[in-house]
Amino acid sequence: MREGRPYRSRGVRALRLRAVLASGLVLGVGAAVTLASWTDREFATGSFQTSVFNTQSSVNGSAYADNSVSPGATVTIAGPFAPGVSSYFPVLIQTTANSVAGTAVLNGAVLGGTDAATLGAALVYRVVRTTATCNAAAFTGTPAFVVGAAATTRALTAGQETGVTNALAAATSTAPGAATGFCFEVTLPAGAPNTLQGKTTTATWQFVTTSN
Amino acid sequence: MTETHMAPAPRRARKLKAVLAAGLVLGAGAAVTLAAWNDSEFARGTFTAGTFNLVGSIDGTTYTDHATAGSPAALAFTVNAATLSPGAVTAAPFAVELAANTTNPAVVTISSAATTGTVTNLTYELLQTTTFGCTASTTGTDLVPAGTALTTVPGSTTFPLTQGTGGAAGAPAFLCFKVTGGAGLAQGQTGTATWQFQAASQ
Repeated sequence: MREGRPYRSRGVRALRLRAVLASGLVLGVGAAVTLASWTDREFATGSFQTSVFNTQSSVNGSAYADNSVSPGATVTIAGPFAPGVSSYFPVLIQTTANSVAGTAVLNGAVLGGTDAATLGAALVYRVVRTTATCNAAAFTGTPAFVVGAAATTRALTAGQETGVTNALAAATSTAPGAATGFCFEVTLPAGAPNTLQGKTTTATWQFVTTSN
Repeated sequence: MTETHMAPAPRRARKLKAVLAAGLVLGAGAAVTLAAWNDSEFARGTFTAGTFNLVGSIDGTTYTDHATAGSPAALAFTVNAATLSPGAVTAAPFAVELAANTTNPAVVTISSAATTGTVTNLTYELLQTTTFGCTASTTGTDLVPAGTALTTVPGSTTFPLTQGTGGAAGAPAFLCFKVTGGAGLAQGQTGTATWQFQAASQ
């Protein structure tokens, strides 16, 4: 018995040790496996960039420029007004390179100059949307009226007619968008009084352009 | 079996979540459209009304305003118009032009403004001539034909005028009035005739 006990207990201890060692080995193997595994990574990056919307305008054939602050492009109408006389000048608006498409809304003019209350109030106007030559012929037939109509003129302070949409084409990355043209016809009505002679006024129109 | 029954529920939940997520994305897209980029273009026009002034001259050199019927230019007749006899012809020149400050061309319309006293048995002819001056033998373009009663002017009697350039007055229109005494002209008859030249800007 005595001899058997120590032997036995020795055997149990050995077994326990082996078990501990074995588990240690298992743990070791596990760790080794983890260390030897292939690693790889996948990254996802969202690139966020805002679109660009910028317009430029050309008045009466001048070079295109950002006229985003009043008075913007200025034009002095050649040929003095007399009753029944009309003057014509074109305004072209385009989106600059990289710009998205949009629309333009013509607001009524803000009158200025010393005779805004007299000559400015007497002048009337019409606008058609065209990139063709801006003259009396542009108002014949059935043009796309923005202000007024075939037999209707408006005060300079009137904006575009209800329901009118003036589209601005998108630009490419290298070139501006196709221009949208507005042909202005400003008229001193035939019944204008002699007291308006020699007077001068200014009218400043704003085109509010909005991206689509 | 239980697993196959359980499966559809999570799948539906995932679908719902996906739809909700898509809805949120659409909502964000709509918000971006409403808050579109803005820009403005301004254009200013300066408008000036013209000036317009017609002046007349009885001597071809000094042109002045005779803007009312009460202060007309008195025509200088070559034969004393105060001593007309039957068959006699008297003539007087006149000229009109657009003054230097005029900015627009004009069409001038002639009309009979007024007569005073007795002007019966008097007829006249109005010519437009190429130079200033007028006698009984002057010829030119008929504006009013010979034999017209002194009190009348045919309808639409007009002629054009151009404005000057470079601060100068426009080219003048030279006119020639010829008045003829009729056979029935009464001795001691006295009267005056006034014509109006009205220029309208074009």
